[in-house]
Amino acid sequence: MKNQFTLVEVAIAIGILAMGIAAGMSIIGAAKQRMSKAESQWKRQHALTQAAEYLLLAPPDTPLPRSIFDYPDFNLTINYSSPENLPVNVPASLAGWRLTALHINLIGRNGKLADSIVIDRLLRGGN
Amino acid sequence: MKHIIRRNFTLIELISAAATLTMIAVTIGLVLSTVYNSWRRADAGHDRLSEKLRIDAIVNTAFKNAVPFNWKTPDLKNTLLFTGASDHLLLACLHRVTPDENAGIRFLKLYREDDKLIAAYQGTPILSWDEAPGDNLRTEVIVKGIANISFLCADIDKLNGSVQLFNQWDENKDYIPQGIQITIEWKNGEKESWFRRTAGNGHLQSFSLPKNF
Repeated sequence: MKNQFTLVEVAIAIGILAMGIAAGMSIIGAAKQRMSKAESQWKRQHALTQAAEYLLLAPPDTPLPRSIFDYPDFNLTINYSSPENLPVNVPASLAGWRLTALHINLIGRNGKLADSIVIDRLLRGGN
Repeated sequence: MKHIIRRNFTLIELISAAATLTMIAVTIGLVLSTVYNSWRRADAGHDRLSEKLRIDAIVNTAFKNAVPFNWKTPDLKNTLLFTGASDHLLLACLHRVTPDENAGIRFLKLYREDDKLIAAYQGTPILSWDEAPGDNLRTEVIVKGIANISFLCADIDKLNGSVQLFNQWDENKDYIPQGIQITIEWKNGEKESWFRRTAGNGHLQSFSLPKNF
């Protein structure tokens, strides 16, 4: 007598195949998500670096030209403040030079802060 | 005596079986196609990010460590080995000493060939007037599938300190740009730029050789 597959066996085989495909899709989906996350993180860091490199070359209050910073998805806010956590008795201004903290904030389309960087910068001026 | 009666499939049974098989085949085909497309997109994203990281590495080593380097032309005239054209770049940059490249300075040329960004480099000067490539010249394909590349050179105005950007660096200048930007346009329409200050230059500090160096 020829033993044929029963309905239960076929159903189990299809179930295992479906589980394998689902697992594969889930792995690829997770990889895609991680890739997308890495790419958007790189893009934010890259946009900040691009801005910082130019701003450190230019005098303060120089606007970023579009040929350097062309990211429609982002806006920048740039401001200077006094440096924080300086040791006691260390002046922020000395002999015509002033230590400042350059804040570069990357703002996303939704108006929320996407990323930021703070760079210590010496400027002329001060006491 | 037992009689086995063999019954053929009815037309309805055959149609049902064929329809079921077709549905299963179509479902599996769709699922596999989705999986393949997802994998292909993830792979393409990985390749693109890898390319960008490769350019990151080049601009962070070569552009940031670019230094002025003088050499004599065939008519013994001192000339700065730097070319900043809109479509190619030639510079000298500080580089770690490696066993197979016994030099602390690397000479690098970046240019486009067909749809590729090529980096050619060696430990001895790449001379713009010398047609024959050096024996030690190495070339690497950095990015594939590009439609165009362009370069910008930044110079600080000595009078007001503002930054000026040039498509073509004036070869009569005896110093290298304070910043260099490379822009790459891919065939799929994507475009990205990398700007880096050279030789530790900043708003109040810039590095240039004296004229009689």
